[in-house]
Amino acid sequence: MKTNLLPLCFIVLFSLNACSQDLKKLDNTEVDSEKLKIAQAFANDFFSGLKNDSYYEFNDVAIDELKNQMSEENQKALYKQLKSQFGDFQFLEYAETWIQSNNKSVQINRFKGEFEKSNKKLEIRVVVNDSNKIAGLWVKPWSDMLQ
Amino acid sequence: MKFNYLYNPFFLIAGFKSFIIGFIGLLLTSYLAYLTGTHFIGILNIDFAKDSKFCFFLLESSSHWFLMSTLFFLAGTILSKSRIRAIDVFGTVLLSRLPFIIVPLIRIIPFFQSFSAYSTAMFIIIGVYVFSLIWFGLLVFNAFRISCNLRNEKLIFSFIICLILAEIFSKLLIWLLT
Repeated sequence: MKTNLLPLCFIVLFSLNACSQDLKKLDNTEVDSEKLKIAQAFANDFFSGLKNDSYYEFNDVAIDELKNQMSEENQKALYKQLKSQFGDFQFLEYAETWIQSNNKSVQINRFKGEFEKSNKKLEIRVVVNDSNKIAGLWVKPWSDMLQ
Repeated sequence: MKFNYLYNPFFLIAGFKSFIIGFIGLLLTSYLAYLTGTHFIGILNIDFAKDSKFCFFLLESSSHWFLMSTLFFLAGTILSKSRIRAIDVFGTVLLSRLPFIIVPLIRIIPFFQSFSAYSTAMFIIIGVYVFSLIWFGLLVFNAFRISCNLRNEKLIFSFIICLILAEIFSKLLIWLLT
């Protein structure tokens, strides 16, 4: 009876794994350092600019959809909301990089952001696409479980 | 017979001895939780984030223990005819928390440190957590029963009420601090 349990456990785990989002965490050696540099510089400049009452001018750094969405007003509104909840942006540090198994050229870079009033670090997620352009930016509570 | 000690060790270990063992366990669990980013918010919520300082993880574990023990002690003092010793209640409840060390211990393994939602790692961790939760439930029920000397309906109802209140209060406390 006990020996029959092991294959059953594997079947259950395999079935559960089929539900996963098919994301893969990269080792530091596998990370595209150019994409990472772009992401880190963007995130730093974006939040430092807003902290100093300025805003980020995208130029050719990001895809058009993001540029259109992130107008000066929207950027300032986003930062105002963050500031009221967590305080001013302090700094960010690189945490990890993930890719989608079916689209390896898109790199999901995760940074931990320190904010003045928050006891907890926030996630600043920057997605860089195959043309090395910023394709997404998220700020959310940090979780070791990528969602 | 010895299997009983896994869910009811309080005939052997109680009072100050259980407090000391439980306290070492609490410190160790909090430290491993800090290293691996395992948050215990009350007992029904577990979160995975290396985002806070050690004292926050210590507070998460100790606040739930303290609130639950205080509620058990109050319930015992009101409902039991026996003389209730605070050290027995606080010590045995503290010792009951030992199963919570399993998840942070497992999360030391790199496979469980960072994972995506609905992945194998997530389901294994949740499975292990449910196991440790059931183990904790058995231990803490026996801790309450023995240290407060309660039986039947009084035991069941006061246990459930204390469990719910401890969960609400500890979540509220953590929410206020974050």
